[in-house]
Amino acid sequence: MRAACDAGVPGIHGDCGGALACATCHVATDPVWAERLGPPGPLEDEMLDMVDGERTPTSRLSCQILASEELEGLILIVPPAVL
Amino acid sequence: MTTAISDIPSMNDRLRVVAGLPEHDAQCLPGRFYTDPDYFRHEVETFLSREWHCLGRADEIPGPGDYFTGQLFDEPLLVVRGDDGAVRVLSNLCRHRGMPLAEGSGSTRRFVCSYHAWSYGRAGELVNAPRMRDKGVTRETCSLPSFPCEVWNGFIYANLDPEARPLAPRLGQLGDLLGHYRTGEMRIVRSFEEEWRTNWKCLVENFMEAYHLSVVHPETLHPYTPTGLSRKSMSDDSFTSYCANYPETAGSRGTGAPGLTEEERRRSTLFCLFPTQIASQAATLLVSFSIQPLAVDRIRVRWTMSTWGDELTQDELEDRIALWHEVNREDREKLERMQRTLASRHAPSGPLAPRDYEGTIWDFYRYLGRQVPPEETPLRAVSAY
Repeated sequence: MRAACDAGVPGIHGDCGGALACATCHVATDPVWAERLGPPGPLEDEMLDMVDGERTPTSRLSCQILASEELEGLILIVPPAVL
Repeated sequence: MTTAISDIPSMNDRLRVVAGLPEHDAQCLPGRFYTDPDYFRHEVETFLSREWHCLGRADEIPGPGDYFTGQLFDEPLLVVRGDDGAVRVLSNLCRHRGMPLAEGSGSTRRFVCSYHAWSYGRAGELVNAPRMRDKGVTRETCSLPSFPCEVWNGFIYANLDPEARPLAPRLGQLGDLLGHYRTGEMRIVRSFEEEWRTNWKCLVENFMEAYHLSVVHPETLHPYTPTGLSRKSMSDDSFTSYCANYPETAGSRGTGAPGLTEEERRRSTLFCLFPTQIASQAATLLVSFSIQPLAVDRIRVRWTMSTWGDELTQDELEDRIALWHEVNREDREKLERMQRTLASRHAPSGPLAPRDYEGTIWDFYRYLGRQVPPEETPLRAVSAY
């Protein structure tokens, strides 16, 4: 989320600064990456029901995806309904 | 001994008398008008909070999302350039529970409240309110209220009164006075904000009279704008002005806009846009002060310096900024000392200097007189018994 905000990616706002309080950093990915990232935790899961646009099976809140070397090559998309 | 309860009606009677004096018999207002907290509240309620006030220059916020904040009386304000290019003056409170929304100045895509992360767009529209979807919290119900706002000659004006009549149509004469200077095209250099311990009217009167220039500013202003060369200029219901002419021996102060006459180049044109904007327009420099009354004896002063194109070098601009800081220090020292003596029972209502030197103060009093309700009926005097 932080990288997306710094780069001015449209649709990613991170209003609450990553505290799972706003649901304004909604992203989705492909099923392979979704598997590798793992499912959202219970708090994130609750907030995902509040995103702009429809929640998808691979939806995540990008503030909960922490960059690491294992994620090299990760592709995230901003769901069109968010824009 | 002062009376326990301020007698606003009798003070207004006195104001009517002073404002009604002929110009050559003009007097200054008694000290109480500058020191009585009840009269100050009366001024705020009856006219100050319904008037247009200058908040700054439009080119301080040139691009979409640019903003600065301020306060007028009880209203925190967010001044922001929208995506449509319009300047808006928005209420700077979150619609949730009243937390201040934006602070200072900057540029942003959206304003996010630091309390519960409600967010608003650049026109004040609600964008997101977490967990509030079923609570009737929508763009229609919870966007930021706005205040009447006008941009005139590059100045941003706001009015807290939603019924305020438009400002620009009343400023034809002032626009004529300033026309050749191309005030709207002057470019912002810097802005400053200070708090002075003085009544708002004292700064208006100080800035608008030439009588003090050579005495209070012997090294800073006297070489260019000595008292003796000042001449009162145009005035009407909305403003007053004077010309602070330069001596022939003084060096050039720049060329400025191409249409300026030689007389206009060889003077600073000072005006007061009633009630709280005071400014000095010269060929290459525009200095404007917005007086924000905080209490009977306290004001916030927000002032801006703007210039004509690139005619002045960076060093010259820094010199002018330093000069104006010094001029302000010289005035502030006088006003803060005087504020402490104006509560005296002996505070005078002394004669004003001739029209070229203090005539603008007479104009200002006539403006104040117009804000007072008409003479009250004799029935009031009976009910006092």
